[in-house]
Amino acid sequence: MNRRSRHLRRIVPTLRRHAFLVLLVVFALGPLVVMVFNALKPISELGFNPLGPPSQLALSNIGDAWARGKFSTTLPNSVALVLLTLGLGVPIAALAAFGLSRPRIAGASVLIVYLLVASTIPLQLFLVPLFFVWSKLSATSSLPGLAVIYVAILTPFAVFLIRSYMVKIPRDFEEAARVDGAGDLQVLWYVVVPMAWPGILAASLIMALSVWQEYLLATVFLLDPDTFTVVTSFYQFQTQFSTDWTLESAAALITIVPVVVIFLALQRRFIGGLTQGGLTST
Amino acid sequence: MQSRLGNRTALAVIAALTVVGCSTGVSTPHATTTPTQAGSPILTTPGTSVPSASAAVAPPSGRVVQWGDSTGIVNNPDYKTGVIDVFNATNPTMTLEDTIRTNMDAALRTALAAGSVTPDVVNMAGPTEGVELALAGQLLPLDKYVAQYGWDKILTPWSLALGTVNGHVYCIPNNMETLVVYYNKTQFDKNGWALPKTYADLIAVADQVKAAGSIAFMQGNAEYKLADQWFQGEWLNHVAGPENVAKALKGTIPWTDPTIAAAVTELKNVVNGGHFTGGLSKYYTTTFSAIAAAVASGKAAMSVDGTWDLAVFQDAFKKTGQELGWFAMPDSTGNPVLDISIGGCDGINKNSTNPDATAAWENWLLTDAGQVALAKAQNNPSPLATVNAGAMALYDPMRADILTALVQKTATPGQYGYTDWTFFSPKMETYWENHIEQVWAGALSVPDYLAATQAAYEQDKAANALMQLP
Amino acid sequence: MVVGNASSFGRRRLPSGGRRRSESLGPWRFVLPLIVFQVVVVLGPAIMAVYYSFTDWDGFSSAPFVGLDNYRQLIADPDFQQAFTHNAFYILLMPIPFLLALTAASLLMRVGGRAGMVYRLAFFIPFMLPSVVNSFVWKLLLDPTQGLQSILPAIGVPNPGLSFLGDTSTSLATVWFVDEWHFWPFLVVVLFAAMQSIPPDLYEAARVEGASWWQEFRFVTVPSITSTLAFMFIIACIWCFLVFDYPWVLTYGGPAGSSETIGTLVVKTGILAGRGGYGAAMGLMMTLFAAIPVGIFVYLRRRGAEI
Repeated sequence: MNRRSRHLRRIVPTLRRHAFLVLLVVFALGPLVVMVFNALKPISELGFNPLGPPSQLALSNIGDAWARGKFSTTLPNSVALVLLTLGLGVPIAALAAFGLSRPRIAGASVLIVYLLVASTIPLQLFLVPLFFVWSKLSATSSLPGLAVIYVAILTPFAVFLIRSYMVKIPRDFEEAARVDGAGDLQVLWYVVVPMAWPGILAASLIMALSVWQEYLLATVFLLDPDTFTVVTSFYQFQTQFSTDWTLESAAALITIVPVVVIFLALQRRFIGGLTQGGLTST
Repeated sequence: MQSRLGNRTALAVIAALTVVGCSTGVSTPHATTTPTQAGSPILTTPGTSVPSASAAVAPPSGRVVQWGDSTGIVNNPDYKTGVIDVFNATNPTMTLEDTIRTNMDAALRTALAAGSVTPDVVNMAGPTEGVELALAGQLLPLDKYVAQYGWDKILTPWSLALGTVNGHVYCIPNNMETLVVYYNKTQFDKNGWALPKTYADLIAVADQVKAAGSIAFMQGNAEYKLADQWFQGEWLNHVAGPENVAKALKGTIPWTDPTIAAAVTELKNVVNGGHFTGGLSKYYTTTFSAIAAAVASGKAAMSVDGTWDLAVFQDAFKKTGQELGWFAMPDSTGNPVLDISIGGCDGINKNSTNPDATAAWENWLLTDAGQVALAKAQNNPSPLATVNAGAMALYDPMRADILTALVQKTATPGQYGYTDWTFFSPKMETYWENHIEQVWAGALSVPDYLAATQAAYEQDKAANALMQLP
Repeated sequence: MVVGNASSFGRRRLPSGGRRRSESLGPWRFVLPLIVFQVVVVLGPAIMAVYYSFTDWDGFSSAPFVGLDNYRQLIADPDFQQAFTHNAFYILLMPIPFLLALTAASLLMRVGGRAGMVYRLAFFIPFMLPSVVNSFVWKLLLDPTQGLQSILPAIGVPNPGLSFLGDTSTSLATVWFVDEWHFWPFLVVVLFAAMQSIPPDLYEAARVEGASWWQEFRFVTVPSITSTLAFMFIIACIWCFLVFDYPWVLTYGGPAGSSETIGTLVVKTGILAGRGGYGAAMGLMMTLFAAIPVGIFVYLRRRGAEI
């Protein structure tokens, strides 16, 4: 086989691969092109030209959406809320996932079932009792107070997700470390976490997004306008029966930026495969 | 029209059957109501009124907290500068704080249920929600303030009666509105269509419109799913007639009565017959701006809608240059009936730390200054016993026309109708609005639908949750 | 002492703390913080929700006991039955987004780092946007007169004017489609992360044996990620019972309840209609249904599956 045909043999599957992926990108982003168009249209044009590109660019929409949506307050609040929740929730979830991934705890099944069941109870049923307690503790209108609730609600799923990655890690690594005299925490920190890292990052990303988009608790528990989050910004463009979709779309564009940043931050440093050295199977 | 979110609660409310425990077994007689009196309303200013047992002598003071719905009419800069700031400036001993809440429904209910002391002012979507919250024990009885400020003279008796439960007033109605038929006058004139005098005429005109290739009634609920009720109410009152609706609401005739059934069936036929938006499935996806654009351009001839959407139509007609008109949908006997809608009701949180100041704020809204301020901020007028001419003059002329006509009609039984979010009792209202689409789709028969409505009505009756009629 | 070569851990001398302490407490230390949060935040309200489901709670204060009445009523409630079939629809079609995500994730594994990141970001954007925005976009596209169908005449096909969201026979499928359009990238992220930890030597071994792409996929990729796959599938099935956002915003469960789900019904009944007790019972029925996938999960674990 000469070099040329070998080269070709590699190109075609690669092209096919990319073609399919590009198709998926069109599927995912195609409809959103409409959103971008609408973000830059003046509202008067929307009724007549809902799908097409704007005939005149209304870049002022972005500035208007920023101001009316009070993003200068809500964006930092949402970011703070995400950081608080992740800072508390990810370590807790990782610890618990580790504890549940090793078959040593009696009653682990009970806990697992409880966690799964608890994550299915609809949030609405929690509202009144939680609000009652939180207001007695003066924890309403408090971002840390809300973060505590988020941690409790989001960690069960994170535990399961991270655990499913931890469970796959071959025991030999852990055994080797223990033979070296490592205790539980060191095994966790030096062996398990690096190998389950992609899972931990994935769980963090999902937690971050859940906090970012959470609507019910954020609107009920945060009474002080200075603590409002990004979700409330989206509702500033609605009147009783209709919505200014150009500004709403512009607001969506504004929020994509921080979310993309979150995504990149939590997806970039993945570690593929095993770390340095192999495992000599004995 | 009350806010979209609030409307859902107003309509979908079920007065707690549980509160049967609170009410006595004997139903208290409803307050007798008299038709509206002519003559100037007695306006009392805080502090100078007829003293009641616990009336304070000093003017109320302190902070009053109000929560406004982000999708409501109160979320506009004019409301802040024109109403709140003015109140605060002219009443220096009190401060009204208004926080705009998103998801107001859930936020308000959760706070009340948890015994929160804020908000002081409970803005509800209508009297039905007022009844619900009153029966659940969340609101302060307002009787002493009614006496102190004379609200029973300022407001029309029937409107205050709506906020009355078991003989006590719990909320003050506001935002008086109605529904009309908007039509494209230019098209009507051009085609020689005559304004209908009876309901039958209306359908005849609709047929003519269809024959000419246009849509008769351009309607849609894409942006507001509960818009279904607008049409349910209109057709019920205007086909069965206001007297029959009143009888059914009072319990003199059952909801399964042939007159009611005929009205519901008639709407079902109209909706499915192509007069509505050219097809039922299109009705479900048509937006308000599309509706206004269609009528304004002549693609559609008429649209049944409320005073709350007048501006949308006017905007659209400005663009096309055609002429907008309105008429009251006539009933079967030829009466041009207008249905009464009360789009809001304010109560006081039972845990409020400053009820006196809260009541003073509510009273201020009813005064000249208050009504004028509300008019400037595009809020609807309150159902005053005597129309406030100064405020009325500030509204768009067409809106003022319609509202003045409504007020005149409320003086005479048979001239006005009953919107379901204002006059239907909670459980019945929920069933009525939640299952109509199944009737339209043919999945639920009209007799079955009405039988279930009657059953819900009876549950409300047993719980003393019926609304009081004018 | 045999020094295992595993990881960078190998050579360092460790402090001798970390002996195995008492077996019973040791492992529970890791789970303790989680339990504390659960008890403080979730357990109380969860128990109250169960209690309320046996009452006719009005959502505020009054809650007279009614025993199993709510549950009896629920089972006989045609609206609830209808909503349940819609949730079941979601579950039955669950494999579709999974297949799509599996394919995309495995393709991404073979694509270079930078390009892979760009693709993943692109896929993920719909998942990042709030449901109101996504719904608005699709409502525009699906509009009978002004949506995508209005472009058809330009290629000579008359506009059929189909109202996908307004027709009772297509509303559920359409809502499902938009929901999954936004959801599948989430699966990509999770599955891709799982594929990241597959040891490259497994692939090497397969390549040496001359395996095709499909064989690699079937015999290396999928078996290596079973734990994540199984877990995600079960969680996704559980989430199918909780579906709320998209049916709510796209169609409000309509028209005529044709796209109603248990989630939307809970809000309509439990909160908007003030039937707190009934709503709690409905919510707990969701939990009971979700217990089925949970039960499968527990059963598989008992049988030794490492998930």
